[in-house]
Amino acid sequence: MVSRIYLVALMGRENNPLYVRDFVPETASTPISREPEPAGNGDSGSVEAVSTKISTSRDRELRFQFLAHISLDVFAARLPQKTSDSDFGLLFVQDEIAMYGWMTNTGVKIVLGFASGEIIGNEIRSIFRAIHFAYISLVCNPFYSVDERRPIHSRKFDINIRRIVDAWNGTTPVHTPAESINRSIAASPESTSNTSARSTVYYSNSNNNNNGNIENVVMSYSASRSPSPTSAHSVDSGMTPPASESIMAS
Amino acid sequence: MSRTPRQIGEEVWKTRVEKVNAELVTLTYGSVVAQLCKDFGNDYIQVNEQLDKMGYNIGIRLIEDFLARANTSRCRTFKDTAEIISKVGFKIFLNITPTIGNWSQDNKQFTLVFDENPLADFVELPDDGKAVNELWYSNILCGVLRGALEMV
Repeated sequence: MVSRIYLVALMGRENNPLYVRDFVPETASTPISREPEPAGNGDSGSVEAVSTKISTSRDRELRFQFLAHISLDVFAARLPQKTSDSDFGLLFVQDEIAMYGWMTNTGVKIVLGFASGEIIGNEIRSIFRAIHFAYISLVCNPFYSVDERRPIHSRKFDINIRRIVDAWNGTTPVHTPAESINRSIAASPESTSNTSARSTVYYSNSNNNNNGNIENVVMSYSASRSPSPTSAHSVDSGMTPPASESIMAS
Repeated sequence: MSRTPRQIGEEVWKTRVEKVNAELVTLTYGSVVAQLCKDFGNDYIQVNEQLDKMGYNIGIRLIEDFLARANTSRCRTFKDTAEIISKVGFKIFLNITPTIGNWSQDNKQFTLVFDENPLADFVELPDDGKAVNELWYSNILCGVLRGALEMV
């Protein structure tokens, strides 16, 4: 049974937070649920333990900010010895959450928090790479000012990260209120995010295969289109919007 | 001997065109539009106009290049023109072939539908409520077409 991703965080070069998002499954808002999860999966123990500790969402937020800060310390501590690779591997384990880290050449740090249980092998790299590409596509947006201090508020980036995590967790994408608002906007702020063969595409539909399709996530480099769940209308020069289907090479 | 516009386009693209990195084009165009938006204080109507003017200037020059490379005979009908624009023109310069559709009753108007737009890769329009409705991001293409066709 594969551990779920609970937390994705990006931090900038100055160790400022760029993006912190948790993916804890929504247990009831009442604090403690003593029942183990009915699926009887391997990490039900840790899920229960987490849900007892993670009561309110404010709590959760603080906890994850806290974890992100700890990981910054680990980055700083390990950096002198790091030779080539961007992958920092397992940073630490705290409160049933295992944190893995990845630092890009530009100093942007990506950390992932997993429900601790299994040691994740090399599949980690593919997730990190996928997130890195999501970040790259955000940065390539000419309207995004690459101001290192400001946190990321891009809807498209949010959706991408969510999709990557959902693909790993093997869950269907949850239609959060934010996304349903997206649907109702006819031409969303996302213009055609279609990427063609020559540029990177990095996410696939979650077909509820357990984390096998993270490989697809990175493999689908070539010749796939990005499926934005919102309308893929191109706000183009007065030409009728293409009815572009999302073609995924999964 | 290449006959159909599609074949002509493919052949010219493969042989007589120098290639440039796509990301360079995308990022350059992106920064042009972003800079225009900044310069005109997010007055998207103005930006559209400027893009159209820029496109026009490009188009009047580009047509010579196009005619030299493609070496096609004169178009007899407007439908021919549409085909040539889509299958040869866009193919040579952007390596895309937009689909032609929506012909009007008198066959004087048609639409080009772009399934992929290399100019707009990675682009996310600014979230200020206006941009989505007012900014025509790839309006330079309109200008190019206008300029090019005016010269023929």
